[in-house]
Amino acid sequence: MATIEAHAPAHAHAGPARPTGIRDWISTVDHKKIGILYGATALFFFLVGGIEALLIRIQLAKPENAFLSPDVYNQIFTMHGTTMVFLVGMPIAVAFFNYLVPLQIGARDVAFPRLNALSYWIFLFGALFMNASFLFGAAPNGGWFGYANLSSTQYSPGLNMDFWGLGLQILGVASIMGGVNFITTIINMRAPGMRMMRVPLFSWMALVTSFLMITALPVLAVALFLMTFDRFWGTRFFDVAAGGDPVIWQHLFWMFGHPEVYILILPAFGIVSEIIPTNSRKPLFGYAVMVYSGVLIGIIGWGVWAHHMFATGMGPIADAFFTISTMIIAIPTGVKIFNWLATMWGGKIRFNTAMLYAVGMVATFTIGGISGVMHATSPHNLQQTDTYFVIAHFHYVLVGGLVLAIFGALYHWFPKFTGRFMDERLGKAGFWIYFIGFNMTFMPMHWIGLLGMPRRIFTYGADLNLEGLNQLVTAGAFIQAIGVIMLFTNVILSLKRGQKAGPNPWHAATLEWATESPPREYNFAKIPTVHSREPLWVEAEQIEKDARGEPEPMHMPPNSYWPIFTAVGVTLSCVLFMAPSWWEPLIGIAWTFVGVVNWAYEPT
Amino acid sequence: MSKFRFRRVGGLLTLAALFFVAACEAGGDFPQTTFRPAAELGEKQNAVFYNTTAWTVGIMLLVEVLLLYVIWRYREKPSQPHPEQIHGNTKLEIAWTVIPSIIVVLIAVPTILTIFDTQKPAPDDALRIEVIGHQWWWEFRYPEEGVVAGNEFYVPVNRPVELRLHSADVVHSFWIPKLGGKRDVNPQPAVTGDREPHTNQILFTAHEEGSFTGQCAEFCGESHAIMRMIVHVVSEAEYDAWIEQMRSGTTSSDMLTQLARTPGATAPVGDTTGRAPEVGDSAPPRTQPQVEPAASPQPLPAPAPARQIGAIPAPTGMPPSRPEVPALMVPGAQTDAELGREIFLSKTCVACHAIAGTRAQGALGPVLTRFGTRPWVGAGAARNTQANVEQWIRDPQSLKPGTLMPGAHTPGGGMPPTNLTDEEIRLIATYLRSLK
Repeated sequence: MATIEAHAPAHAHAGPARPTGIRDWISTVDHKKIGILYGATALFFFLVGGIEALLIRIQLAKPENAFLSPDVYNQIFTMHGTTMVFLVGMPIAVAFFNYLVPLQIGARDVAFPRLNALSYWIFLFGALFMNASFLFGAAPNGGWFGYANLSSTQYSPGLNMDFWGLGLQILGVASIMGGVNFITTIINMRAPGMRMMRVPLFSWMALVTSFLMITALPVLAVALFLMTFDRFWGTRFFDVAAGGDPVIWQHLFWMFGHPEVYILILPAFGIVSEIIPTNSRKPLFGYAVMVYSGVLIGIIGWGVWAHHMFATGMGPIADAFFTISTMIIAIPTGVKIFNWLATMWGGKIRFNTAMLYAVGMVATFTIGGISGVMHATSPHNLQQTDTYFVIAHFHYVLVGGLVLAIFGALYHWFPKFTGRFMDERLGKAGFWIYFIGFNMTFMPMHWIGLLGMPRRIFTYGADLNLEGLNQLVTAGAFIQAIGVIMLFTNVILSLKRGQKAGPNPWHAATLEWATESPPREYNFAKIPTVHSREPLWVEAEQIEKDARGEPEPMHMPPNSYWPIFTAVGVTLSCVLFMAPSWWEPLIGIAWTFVGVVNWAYEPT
Repeated sequence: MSKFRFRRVGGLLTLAALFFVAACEAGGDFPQTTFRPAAELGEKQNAVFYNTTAWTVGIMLLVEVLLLYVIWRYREKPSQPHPEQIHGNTKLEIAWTVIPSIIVVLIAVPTILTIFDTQKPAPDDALRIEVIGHQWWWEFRYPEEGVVAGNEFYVPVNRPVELRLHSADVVHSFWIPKLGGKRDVNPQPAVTGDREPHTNQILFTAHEEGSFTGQCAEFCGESHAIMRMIVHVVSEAEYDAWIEQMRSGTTSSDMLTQLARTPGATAPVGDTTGRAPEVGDSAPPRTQPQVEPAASPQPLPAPAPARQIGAIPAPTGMPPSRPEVPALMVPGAQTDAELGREIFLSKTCVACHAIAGTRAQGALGPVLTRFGTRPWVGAGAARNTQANVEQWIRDPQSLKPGTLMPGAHTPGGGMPPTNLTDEEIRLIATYLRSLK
């Protein structure tokens, strides 16, 4: 219970008092704390994935380098991709969803607070399980795309791909539950007056992303089931000798994999659509079109998967179809870029660090979008695919798009999370170092690819004459690392020493800025009624009074240990498939059952 | 502050432009460049790429310049009033939806025409080559000529060539950038009838003679990076000569006798520096084709089966598929190469490797006919020098981890160690390198 004893003791339920310290963190159902847990975990894995990236770049700094053995290199690049997509990109977005969506739509928590905690714990255990493979010297080594039939026991006999298949299965469960939670929250829990077309763009993109999560991840789950059945029980879905077909895996994987790209980038669009209007002191230009284009991207994003497979050989008609659908998706994306420019046009632009990152994101994402259209030119895609040109493209999209947006979001919302500013001087210096390092790393890769260097190779011949460009790239990677260290330093220093920020230090327009910094547990003392898209620019007085005044009688859910308990069970159910006997997974299933039953009967 | 930023961004763009110019200007120095195709396939692909690039880079520059202008023009100024609150402009938004749509059409139409143009069925006079991907080497089969080659192949200039690609194990991807785009090399699902559901085709006509390198582009396991190959585009006459040599082998009795008479012929030829000849230098020797009735197409050995761990092919269970050409023993003084040949043919080497003109007919590993002309050993694992070939035979895992080739003391691919002595290894290497 969690009622607010000081203010409303009369409404306190009889229940355990809220625990403190570590016990509070492992039993919390508060969306803000879960958001912080998600964020801290994702940032930790960002460092892990970054170190993996540096190892890759050291190996490739010169041709025929023996720094890493091929098997170790293959593990490192597989884990770099898997980590950055599943343990960084998705959870960092979910972290911001968690913290901000209820605040932006005027709710006290997400629709299913315990489910939210369960998502986090399953994610954490899945991530730890996947990385535990390093302790066995058997990290996944088949690429983040795990192509069949290389992933079969015949060609990958070790534990490596077992860790991968089971680990992703666990992580997928967490994402699907998260998606369900956010859809329900955004549709059902908006404050009075907040019609869908008044929902801030970040929350809109959270909604589209959540729909993609609950539709795309089941496809991955199916693919992983086929793969793990092949590996554990000798089914032969991908075994050509038995009439199976490895190309089926490619279709399933990319049918998940391309919506996944939009799962990663739409939150970034949402973030930038909040930072740019705030710092331009102008409303978002073409709000409705920004919403529709985001929805359209989510829908068309389902019809482009086979552009990852032009080289697979699908025939000219399929090639033509996926060429056209892929080119079409450039149009709503382009509209977003033009609308961001128009938002800044005529504005009074404040260049704080967050805005630098947002503008940097627009600049670099544009380059990634452009090279995406080049990929869609499918006859020449056959030259580009599986080379460093592709690596350049999707790092411009995912680092230039997502990571820059996330860093910007960190600077933008840090005062909300902690009540303190991050250091602006260190922030701006860090931005420039990161931005220059980023371009130095990924711009030359376009040429490295078109000059004949394939991806996923632990060594390249000196005869390719690509040593110079690769050294430039490696130097850029280390410059990026300096930028990241500066960012993390800034976060740690500012937690204690940052200048105090009020509730709305940037004079932003959306509801989260009406609350205190950091918001109290119940977010809004009284749920405000909104009458516009920019409530704090139009009707700040009443809304701030509601948000920060005397709390009305309310009920907040108590802490619960059943989410973490159940998460252990779900994880064990998957992990124990690697155990020698058939009955061992039953332990996990029984454990989960105990958790679910107790969960159901727990008073909230 | 903003001027400072402007310079930085401008500097980056200039740097990028410099890269582009440098890369295009120096295209000749990059053996795997896509910018200078040697075949019309690559040219068609580049043409449509340059069309797309011109439009899209144009848009990109427009957006970036606009962005720089906006952030400079509308940066915060002290006395500036609060900006006008504009929520949108329908005409503008329609404009920047419709104009990009038109540009998409201008990009898509040539793209689609090229898709259908480059995937036409092969003409009747096309040279058909079957390309089989293995972990981690390439097999090239010329069904009409009765020739099998490993890791290197020859095609005649100005004649259409149809590559038919499939894999013996996992998914690979065939990529020789100077010819054109890559295609995956897929394992074939067992289906009835003569359908080949995932056999891919690459149809190209090379118009420039030369030797061009390529490599596997789809991650295919531990030593994916060491799965390289070379295509030699040569004149029709050179091509015919090569086919003839590949059929008969080079170690015909004539050649052996010749070798026996030439002292020192077994020393690494033209290779005293320890460096293999550059790829570009490895044009075929211009020997006359041996016109003999015996040179009719030989039956191809059975396709190499998929990698089977644990299966030990018995060397004795592979009878020579045709009468053994020259006698194993050459009486009299034997050169190192001749001794090496005897050892090669009497050991388990022949279980996996074939050399035309001998009884070595193994089909599990790459064909070694004319091995001496190749610049690399192990599909790019190391240069073809005496020391490297010896090292390869002694301990192939040290050069190419995961390879199925057994070493002197290490098993591999279900084969026991070969137990060859250092002297035997030296002689075998000498023999293989003499196969020119």
